[in-house]
Amino acid sequence: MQNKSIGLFLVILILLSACVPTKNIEELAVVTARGVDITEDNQVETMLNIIRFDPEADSLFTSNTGIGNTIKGAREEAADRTSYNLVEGQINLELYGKEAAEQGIFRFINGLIHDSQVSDTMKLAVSNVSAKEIFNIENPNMPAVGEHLDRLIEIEVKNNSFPPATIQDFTRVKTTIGEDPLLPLIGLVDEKPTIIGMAVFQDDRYVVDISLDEGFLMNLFLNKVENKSVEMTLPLQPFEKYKINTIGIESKSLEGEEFHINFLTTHGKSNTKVESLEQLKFKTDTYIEINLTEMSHPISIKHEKAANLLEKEIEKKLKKQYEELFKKVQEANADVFGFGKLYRSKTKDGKITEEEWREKLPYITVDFNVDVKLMHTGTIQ
Amino acid sequence: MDINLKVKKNLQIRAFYLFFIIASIQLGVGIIGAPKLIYLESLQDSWISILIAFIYIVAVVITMFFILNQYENADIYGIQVDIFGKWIGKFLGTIYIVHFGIALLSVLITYIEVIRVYIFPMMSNFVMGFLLLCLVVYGVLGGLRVIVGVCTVFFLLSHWIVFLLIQPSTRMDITHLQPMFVSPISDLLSGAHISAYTFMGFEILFLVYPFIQNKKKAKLPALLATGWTTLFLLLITIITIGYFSYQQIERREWVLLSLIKVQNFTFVERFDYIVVAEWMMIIVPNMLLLMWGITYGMKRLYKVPQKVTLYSVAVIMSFACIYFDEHYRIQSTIDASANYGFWLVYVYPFLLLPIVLIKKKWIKKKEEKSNAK
Repeated sequence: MQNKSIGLFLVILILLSACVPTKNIEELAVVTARGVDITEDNQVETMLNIIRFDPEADSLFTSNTGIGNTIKGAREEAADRTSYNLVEGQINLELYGKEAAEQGIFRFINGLIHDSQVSDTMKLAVSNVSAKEIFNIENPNMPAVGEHLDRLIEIEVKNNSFPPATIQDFTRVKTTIGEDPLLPLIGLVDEKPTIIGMAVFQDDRYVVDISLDEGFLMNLFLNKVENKSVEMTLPLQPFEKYKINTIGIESKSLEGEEFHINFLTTHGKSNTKVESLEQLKFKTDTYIEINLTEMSHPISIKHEKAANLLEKEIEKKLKKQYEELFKKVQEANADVFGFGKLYRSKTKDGKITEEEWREKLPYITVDFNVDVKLMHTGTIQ
Repeated sequence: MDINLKVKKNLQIRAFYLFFIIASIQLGVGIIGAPKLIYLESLQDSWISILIAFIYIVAVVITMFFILNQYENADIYGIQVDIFGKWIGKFLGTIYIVHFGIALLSVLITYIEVIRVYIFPMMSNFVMGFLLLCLVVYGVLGGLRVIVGVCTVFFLLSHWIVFLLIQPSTRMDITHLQPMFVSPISDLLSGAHISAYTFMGFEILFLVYPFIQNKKKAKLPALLATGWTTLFLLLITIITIGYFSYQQIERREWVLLSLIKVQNFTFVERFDYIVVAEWMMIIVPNMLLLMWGITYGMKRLYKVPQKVTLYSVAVIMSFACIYFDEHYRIQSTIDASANYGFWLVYVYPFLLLPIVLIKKKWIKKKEEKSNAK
């Protein structure tokens, strides 16, 4: 009796599992990347990179476009023109065209958060032309542009070149009061989609862009940085007395006014404090440990004095770069450094609105304090 | 109806398992959304709210033990009949049964909604409910000892989810938790009130107590279990507040699943699917204990065979699932369960205790009098 009823249960359970909707992989078209543009009549135009597991097709990759009032609407429109089910769970990259980004991208992101099918680790990027131009590049080495960009961004983030740019990071920073987000900026270099810098947002609108070097500075400010190689140009004049004299050749002064170095940042972090709430003064201490890897001119840093001089010059340079970067984003009234959230956390009741902070932002002053420590100089001194 | 129970030796459980019983029934669907609800009330000071709730719960649990210890081997159904007489006692017992019923329904439909939003949007509520109830019926047929076994095994099998919180916790923004100590006391208390639904379930102690073998050692595991759930909720709440911004928490329904959605591993790209499925291991012991409470109550109060109640409740529940397919309906059921349960679980024991003590004194006096005669 007992066995019979258990058997009955099992049969019912097995039969009921058919009630779950099935999805055969051959019938699916998996969207891997999407480009979003705004058309002249304010509709959304999307470009889709699609993978199809159709054994009869020549290539795995295809693309499609769609127009609609919402992102989902545009997808539906695109789906009308394919004989496959378009599924969105695997979108790894969404690229916003310049115009769309300037008008604000939160309306698109909102739809992505609503839908639990969308992966939260999806990356976002902005292009300095329309997304269509990037997606329409014909390159035999690059069957799917979206895939290529996705990998490009992933590698750069892994190498600590700039802060991570997933949808999670973006929405989190965007909705935090007193902090504005950054996204990688994609441009065309020699007809090839490349990361050319970072797009700075004010709230969800793209306002100004910064270079990739400045992207590293931002990452150093916001996160802990390890194992990142950096190139820097320093003035030559202070190092004149440390030049290397080769025996037998009459020493002549070093050529040029500047020289280039390359160093590996083995460890870097920043700590920002509010110096004065009333006067809106902030102070940032950045500490990095570096290993010297390359120098364009023969300069000896055998002596501690030379090493100290080098550290000091790098500090000076970084400080200047930070100040320039800060001035640039402050003029755009975008708080990518997140001084506002620090300010908020130090106020008494912790209540400050985004608008109130935007009014204060142009008047804040920041003291950037960089401390460089030269750890090793490689196999030569 | 016997007030004190005689439990056969082979049906008894050791006090140590009380930890798993209480921890399993407390951790349920509530915890998926609770951090958000608490945060909306008491903002960055939510952790204080949770600690307040914990202190209150400890007081309630101790009171419950105090009530139970006044009797030789009784459960709440028996105690109520003893104190209030047959009619009122049975009526109050029925309230407990209805409470378990609503709690069971709210757990069931909330979990089905999570599945429908995250994994199978087209899935029929009836099928999901039926499948889950099959498991529940099968488990409850095994009796309390099987249920306790399920609680223990599933507790151990499901807690690896904590490790998934490591990644978000490394990316917390500490400024979201600052400035501290700014929420007024009233907000902190309403935050603690909101967490009542999540912490609910330890009232099962009133039912399983007669089954415990070594009753003297029962207090520690019960309190440890509530401590464990508090710690769990505290951890999730702090990570949630640190990881998400105010606006994000405000707009999300299930913050815990959003936290887990952030994970990305090379072997599994979408961890939320696994966690939603895994959550069944947390839900099933929950439902088993509630269902057992219902069937056992019906048997004690009205002498209905446990199997009859079990099958009929399962049928009613699986059809009820069809009706509760709308988000707002589900929400109002949860609210009803929370409001109704609050008075029963958190306030009622304090009212019951003085009555029990008075009655005991009264009987003692009476006995002394009759002895004197």
